[in-house]
Amino acid sequence: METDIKTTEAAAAAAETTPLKKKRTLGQRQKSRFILVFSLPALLLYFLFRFLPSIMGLAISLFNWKGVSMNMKFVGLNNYVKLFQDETFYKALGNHLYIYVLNTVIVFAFALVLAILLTNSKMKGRNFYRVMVFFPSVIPAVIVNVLWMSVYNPSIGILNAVLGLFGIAGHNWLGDEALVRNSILFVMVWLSTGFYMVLFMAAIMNIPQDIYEAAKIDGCSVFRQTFAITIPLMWEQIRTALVFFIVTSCGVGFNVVYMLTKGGPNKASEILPTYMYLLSFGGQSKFGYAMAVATVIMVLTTALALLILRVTKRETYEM
Amino acid sequence: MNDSKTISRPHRSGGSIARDVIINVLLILYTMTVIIPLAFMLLNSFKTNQEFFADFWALPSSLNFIHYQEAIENTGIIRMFGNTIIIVLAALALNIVTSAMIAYVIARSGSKISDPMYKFFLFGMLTPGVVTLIPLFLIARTIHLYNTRTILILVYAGFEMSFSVYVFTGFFKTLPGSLEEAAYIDGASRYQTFWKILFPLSKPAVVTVGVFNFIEYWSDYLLAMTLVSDESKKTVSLGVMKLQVANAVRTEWGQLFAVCVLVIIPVLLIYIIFQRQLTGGLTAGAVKG
Repeated sequence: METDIKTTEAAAAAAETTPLKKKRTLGQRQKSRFILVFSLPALLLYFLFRFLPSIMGLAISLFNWKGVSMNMKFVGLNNYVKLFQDETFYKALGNHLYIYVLNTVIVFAFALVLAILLTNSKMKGRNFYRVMVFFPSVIPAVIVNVLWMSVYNPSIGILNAVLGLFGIAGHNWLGDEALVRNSILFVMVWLSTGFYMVLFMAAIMNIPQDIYEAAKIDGCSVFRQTFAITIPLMWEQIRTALVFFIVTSCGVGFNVVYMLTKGGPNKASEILPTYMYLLSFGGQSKFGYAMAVATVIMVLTTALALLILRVTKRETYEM
Repeated sequence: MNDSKTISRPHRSGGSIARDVIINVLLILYTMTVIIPLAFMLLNSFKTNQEFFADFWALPSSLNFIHYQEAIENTGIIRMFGNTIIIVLAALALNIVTSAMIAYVIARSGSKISDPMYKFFLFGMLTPGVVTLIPLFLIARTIHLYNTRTILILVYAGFEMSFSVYVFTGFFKTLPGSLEEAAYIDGASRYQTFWKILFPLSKPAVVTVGVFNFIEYWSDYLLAMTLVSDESKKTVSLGVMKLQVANAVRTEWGQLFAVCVLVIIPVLLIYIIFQRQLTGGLTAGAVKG
């Protein structure tokens, strides 16, 4: 009974507004059409080639698929059951965590220290340093790998030659199971530091100078200024950068490992994305199984990124 | 190697001069890791094979373009340059125009769907691109565009959409609302207002998006490797990779270095011309959110 009254009321209200609405509909319809025409191309491109492939992995991981034909066999969670008994997966996961955790800590420490140093106006040659440290971020990935091949190469390698000058014996940097993870890590740090340094420099330059002057008058050391003023005031930028870093460094790691070592020697530098590639296009043609690895990568990065956003939430300081 | 990794804290006892010296030494060591490999590559691209194996470090006896000549004649690098330029420019145009259009709707239409659409695009910034490879391969084959330049153009344009929408939305929000009002009073339609007034005004955002995406597209090998297999459609990155694989067997470092120098030139030019946008433009759009 009550609902009846409501619906009739609503109908009456609708009837009342229709004539008014009709006047507006021409403009309204034109506006809606404009919105549709202007949104559709970008939505379509993004949905089909970025959004859909990101979530489709979950579905593909429930099938056995050889990749050649469209022949897919539903196997439920079987791929995951196999994955959690796969020794290579655990090895790759261990390397993955080792490389990415250290990479994050070192890149952020380097980028912050460099940004603080190079925003100091008394520093000589800071423009030169900035340009050089940033440059690796723009070098095409394949060339980065040729460069580091020639650095690490045991016979013609630059690194062994430089060490030789000081009478230090060289190593097979990419062929030694004990060294290879750190060799990879170094290239990753080298690649990413400049970009984040520049981000942080911009953030630091936004901090008003008079805060530092007041701190100096109070006898605050440079070290304390960094932790009491600089870092708290750029906290928001650090957080955003951290999330962005966690997501993008996944691909950076893939590039470096895939080109320099292919995960070798003896899986010593295998990480999750390269293992995923090996399982699929890399020759094994277990595409469904590879997508189970991809799902683990997604969970590790996206969940971690969201978690970090939540955990690091602080009050923002108004400037 | 380890020296440049650890940045020591300022020494209290040494005074500020000693501290400056230490800081500068560490910074120079770090920059050396950038300069030396690049110089090594450039120098050795001009040496004959005999010169190279006699001494990697010596300056070339003369500027010898033999590797460049051979690379151009034998590796198909010119065709790959052609492919890459077409694909990158088309993808840039498509990405910039479509992302500017939707960003305009998000920033200025006041529509209810603005906010959900914006959040939808931000999702792309929270998911790693590597996991999309296998699904993209499947999609490309389903729509019968696998192994075409078209698929690379479309995928590139879609792939960087999040970043572009982010930058354009931020930019359009900074423009005053009176712009459109004036245009409407003059009788311009919504479409005219965007194409004739708003889009031309967004040049700074176009440059930021263009420069970053150019570098992204030019550097890509992974999507190209996944979506294209014909020799005649390959991009420069795939060309370098092929030479790198061949080099492991035949050790033709000179030719490999020569091709690398050629491939890096466009990026270097962009870096020199747009250095300010690259290292400064980040503040305007990409950081605040």
